[in-house]
Amino acid sequence: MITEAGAAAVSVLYSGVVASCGRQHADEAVIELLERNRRWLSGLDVLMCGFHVQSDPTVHSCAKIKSRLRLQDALPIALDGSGCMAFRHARLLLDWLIAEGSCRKALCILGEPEERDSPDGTGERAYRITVLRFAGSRHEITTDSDGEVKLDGCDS
Amino acid sequence: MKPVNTLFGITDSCVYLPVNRTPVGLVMHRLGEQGAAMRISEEEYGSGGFREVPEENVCSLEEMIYEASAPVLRRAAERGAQVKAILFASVTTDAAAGSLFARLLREFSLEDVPVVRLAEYGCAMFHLSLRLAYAYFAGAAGEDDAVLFVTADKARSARERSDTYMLFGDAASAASFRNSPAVRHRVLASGMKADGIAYDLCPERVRLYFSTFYLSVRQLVRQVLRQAGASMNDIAMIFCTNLGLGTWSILAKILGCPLELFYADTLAGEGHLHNTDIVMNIEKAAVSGRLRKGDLYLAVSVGFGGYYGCSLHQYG
Repeated sequence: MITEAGAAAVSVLYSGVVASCGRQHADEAVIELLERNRRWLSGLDVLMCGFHVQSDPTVHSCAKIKSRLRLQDALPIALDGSGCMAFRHARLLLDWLIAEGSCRKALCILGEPEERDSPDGTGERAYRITVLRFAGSRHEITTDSDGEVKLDGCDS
Repeated sequence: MKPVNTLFGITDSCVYLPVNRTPVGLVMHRLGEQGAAMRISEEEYGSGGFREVPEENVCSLEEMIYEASAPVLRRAAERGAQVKAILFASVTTDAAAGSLFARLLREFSLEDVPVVRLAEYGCAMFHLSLRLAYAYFAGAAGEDDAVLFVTADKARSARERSDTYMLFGDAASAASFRNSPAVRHRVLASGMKADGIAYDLCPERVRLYFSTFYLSVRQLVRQVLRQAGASMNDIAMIFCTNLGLGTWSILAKILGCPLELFYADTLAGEGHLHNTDIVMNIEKAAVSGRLRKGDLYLAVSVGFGGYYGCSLHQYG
């Protein structure tokens, strides 16, 4: 039997706008979202973050999320300034790690600030956040006694 | 990691350094006037081996990137190498990578090559890029493929010239990673640790980082040596982030090796250049003959806040 790593399967776990409610950084909104959905975090090998604009350059948001959520085993990778290419860049690097076999499951968080109108007309800051799950797929290739080759796919 | 009989490593590199060198004392004086004084005296900082700071007064950051990357791309094209991605690191700019590489990509017909800007790892970005490139070559990479690591920094303000603990010079460098017989610096083993303990400037977290980072470096170095079945006795040289003789003395003690193993030739004239340190030190040692063919050496990077990288290489 031969087992080979296949391309990553991508699922959208969350995509929406979160009001800032006084939070200074998108990472605070992300931490609260992930705390509410802890099941997304089990078995995480890589935590990838791409925030369109880093409001405070002295804060390492990806490391902060990893630390606050106690994701000791997850390798944090932060993308910077990818803008609308963020998903493409995240996909590129995660495909490499998954194809290599060192990453079976990764969470990719993309975020950007957004100004919304508020009822009193003063404007309100919010964060547009997307949480993506990348999971490696593996194929089992077996040859039966008649020499017939079978290919079975399964998620890692 | 794959077994050590891989051909993955560095095939080529180039470093751009400014012509101008400013004495450490003058830089510290200027910072003091700008309200960004260092926490230590000029004498104490100088005891670390630092004398001058390269400061770029002519070229833009884009031009520095071009000067460092173009020779590597030119030689890659001559050898038939296909650049598949550029991993970019800069601590001192918030410009989009696309705008900084536009001329380069156009000139070498690489407009479809992704330029991925990595962040947060501080001065350990070399090893993050090495780790990612390794993953690429362990997958479905072609034998002519190359992944470039490019780093460039040019301080625009007092805060980017110093973090009050160290002074940072301006520089740019490029290194080509391949899996090929053309590799000059083969990677035998590597490891990374990214706990990001001090993910912000909270004093308590920064104190914890400073009190534990030596242990993290030691843990990683031991792990890498064990992975390759090597020991410190096999090591001809250590190329470390230019943290200075004081910090290196402590690292040498806990690693159980002589301080002289740390390559220190660039401390005085170049100092700390963020992620260019490692590439610059390796290149200068190879060109000067300090590194000889067959030598085993360690590259060790430390990123402020809790990011560490270590790789064992064989030269030639």
